[in-house]
Amino acid sequence: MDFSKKYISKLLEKYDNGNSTLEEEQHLKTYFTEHDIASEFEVYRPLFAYFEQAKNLSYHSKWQPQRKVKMKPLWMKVAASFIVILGSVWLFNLYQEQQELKAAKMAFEETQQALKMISENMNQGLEKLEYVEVFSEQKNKLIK
Amino acid sequence: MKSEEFVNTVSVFQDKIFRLSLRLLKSRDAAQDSTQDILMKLWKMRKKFDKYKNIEAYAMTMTKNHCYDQLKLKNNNNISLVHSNFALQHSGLETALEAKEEMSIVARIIEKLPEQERAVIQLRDIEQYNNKEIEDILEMNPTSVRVAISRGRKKIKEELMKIKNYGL
Repeated sequence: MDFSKKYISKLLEKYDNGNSTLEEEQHLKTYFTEHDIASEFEVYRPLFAYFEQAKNLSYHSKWQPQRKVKMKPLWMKVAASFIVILGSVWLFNLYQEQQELKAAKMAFEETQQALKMISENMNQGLEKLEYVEVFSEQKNKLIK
Repeated sequence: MKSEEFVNTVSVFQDKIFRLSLRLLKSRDAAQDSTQDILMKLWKMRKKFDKYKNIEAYAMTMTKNHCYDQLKLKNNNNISLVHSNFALQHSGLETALEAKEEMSIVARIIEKLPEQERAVIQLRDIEQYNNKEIEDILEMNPTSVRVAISRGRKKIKEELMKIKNYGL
């Protein structure tokens, strides 16, 4: 490989003007990292050394795509919602039945109480009827 | 596309995404976030990968756009970006300190360049893309790519000359 001053200075000129090819830049890198550098080119040395080093920097934090949460199959979701619906319907029915039973019981008790009251009053009336009976007996004795 | 396949595909260029982000955003944390965002976006569009001729170039364009947006955002908020810390690894033997210093000098000179020049230097001199690829990635025309490369290189050289002749 040609590392004559003339060649290097030509490459550096191209380099400064943005006209060098990647290959030529590779030559420059080799020259500046592996050779005794002529003093007039010394100014470029840190530059190429830096480029060489800067490309070793790596992204350390390990990145992992988050795993997708495994979804339950559709039929399971449907089944689950059915259970919830059926369960609530059943509970509602049970509640209503109990409410009806309570109402019936209350009506029964009220009716019973009302009948009891009537019968008590009737019994009172019966006591007075005994006088009528005595009266009619006496009357029969006399009138016969 | 399975996640392993995806990881294999992006592992080829995820470091380049990170380095371009770091070059443009100048902060390691911001570059990490940027890389994360780009990888996330790529993951979401993984089913469409085969529609792109060059997914790497596409990813680099995404990175460029993302970073430019971030910079605009920062400028609007008047937050100045704080200098970076380019990792300076394994640089040598007894001259390690000197070499390290030189490296950080070059890093700082590049940091002061306008963002477009930073981007082209990164892509050309460090990642070694050819000019055509840089045109695609940065969505620039051939002349402005060449001009930006040349300007960037000349500015770096001038700064290095100044330091060499007059010290820091």
